[in-house]
Amino acid sequence: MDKLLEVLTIISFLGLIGVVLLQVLARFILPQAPVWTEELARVLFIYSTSFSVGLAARDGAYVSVDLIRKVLPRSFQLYVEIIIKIIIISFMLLISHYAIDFVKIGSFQTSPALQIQTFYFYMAILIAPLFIGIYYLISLAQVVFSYKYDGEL
Amino acid sequence: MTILFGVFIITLFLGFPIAFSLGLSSLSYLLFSDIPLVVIPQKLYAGMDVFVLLCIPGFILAGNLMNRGGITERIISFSKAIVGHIRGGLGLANIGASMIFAGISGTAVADSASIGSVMIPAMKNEGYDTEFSCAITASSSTIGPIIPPSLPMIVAGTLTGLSVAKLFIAGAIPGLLLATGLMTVSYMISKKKGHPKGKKSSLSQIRKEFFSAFWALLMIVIILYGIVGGVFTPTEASIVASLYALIIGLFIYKNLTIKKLPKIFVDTMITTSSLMILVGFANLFGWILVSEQIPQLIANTLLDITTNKYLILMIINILLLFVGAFMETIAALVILFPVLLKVAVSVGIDPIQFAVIAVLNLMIGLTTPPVGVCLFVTSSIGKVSLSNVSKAILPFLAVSIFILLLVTYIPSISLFLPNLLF
Repeated sequence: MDKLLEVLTIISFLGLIGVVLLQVLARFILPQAPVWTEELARVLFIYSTSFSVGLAARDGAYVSVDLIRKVLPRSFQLYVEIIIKIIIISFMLLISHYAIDFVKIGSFQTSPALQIQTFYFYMAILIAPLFIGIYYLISLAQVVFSYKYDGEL
Repeated sequence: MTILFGVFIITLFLGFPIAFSLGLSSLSYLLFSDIPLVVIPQKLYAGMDVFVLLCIPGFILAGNLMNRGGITERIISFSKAIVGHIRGGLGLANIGASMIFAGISGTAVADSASIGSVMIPAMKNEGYDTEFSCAITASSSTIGPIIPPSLPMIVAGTLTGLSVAKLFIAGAIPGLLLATGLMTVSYMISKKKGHPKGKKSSLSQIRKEFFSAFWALLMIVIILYGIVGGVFTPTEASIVASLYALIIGLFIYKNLTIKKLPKIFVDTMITTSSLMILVGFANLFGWILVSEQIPQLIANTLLDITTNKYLILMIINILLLFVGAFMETIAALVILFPVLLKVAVSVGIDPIQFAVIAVLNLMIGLTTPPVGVCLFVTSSIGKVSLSNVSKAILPFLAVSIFILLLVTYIPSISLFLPNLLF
């Protein structure tokens, strides 16, 4: 899954770089720059974000304020961490659920420049919470298992 | 309303990622006020669907490519060749390199990590005390996001609709002032402590270093000329810069290989997406704040205390310094900047000037002991204790705050260039 997401991230990222470069070039070469480049670049960006946001969860790249948690006793810290992960997983499930409704709305609209159903754009917002949830689930499992084997940390 | 802030503060201090603190508190508000939850994905999407935000991955990518493509080292040796012979020259070179680096990358933490990992060991070797080396790296890296281009300025502009190009230019003079201030302090300390001076480089050596760094320096010219001259938008500039860094790294300096690229791309996007998720949830949170007229409320409360422009600025400065010390810059901006801007504008402060003040504040916060992130980064590179670096940074902190006061109370420092050029 990591590899797949990495490949998808790279493809959409390269795509967005390509589209923006095209936009710059087109302005110099063509009499009128195409209107769809900006829209396409935005969509590719949202997709590359959605593909990589799960990987960011895996690497613990999100910023947080952990001053208070650090002063808590070790075992207590562990419980807090587990609870945080469970809450985030449920939150992500909830968002995915409502994202389905959102995606459905998208099938009634077409985008202004590309004339594509916005359904395909909105799909990204369904992908993102799903993968965040999955990676948090994995790390939750890791935390719980390592706790089981080591007895106490 | 209490539920929104209550949940936010509790989850924040429990150690939830800030993005999810914003998300969960918004969720609890929505549950209580019978608003259909489909607004969550809707606002997330709308928050990320902004063209200017594309320059976040662009500038991060450019920075990563520079570090791994040998551009950073060449910038450092170039500035060493110019100021190395003065007493405490490596300290000055450190600041100089930060200034040049600032013209390309846009974040302070990245600057302290990449310049620190080269400069701190080098300064140690030549007999500088490590605390001093760490302190100077940390404080000089804060120049980065003041001198254009700058990620925080992009975010500030996106949030409030201010022109990013104007914001960039407004940071130029304050950034140069800050650099001058830091150099002065560094020189004075070095003189007192008797730090070594390097050999004076001959003119031909300087010329050699200049040509070696030429391609890196040209990059700054391209970015700045492109944005100020209206050739490209900030987003396009960031992508052009990445392409440029890629070509230089692959074909001219030859430190990059095609094999290294996938990892650089993925790393860049991971950093970006962790910021984007924050921007997305902040959009949701901000939407609730506006619909509850909270910014207005806070503005009125502050204005009830005083309507004196200078006092308001003082209060906001203290608040931002405090927040900047323990919260990530971008996170602090998305949460506070739109609200505070409203206050500032209502007492007649120019929004562009205010953005410079806010970013400068948050940057200084990054080096404020005991929790500034740049202090953590440099002290871990130099392997010295945080408290020793904290002591060493105090004189630099003092001069930074002095510059902040100048920028706060003399509007033309930040407004002169934008008014001249636009």
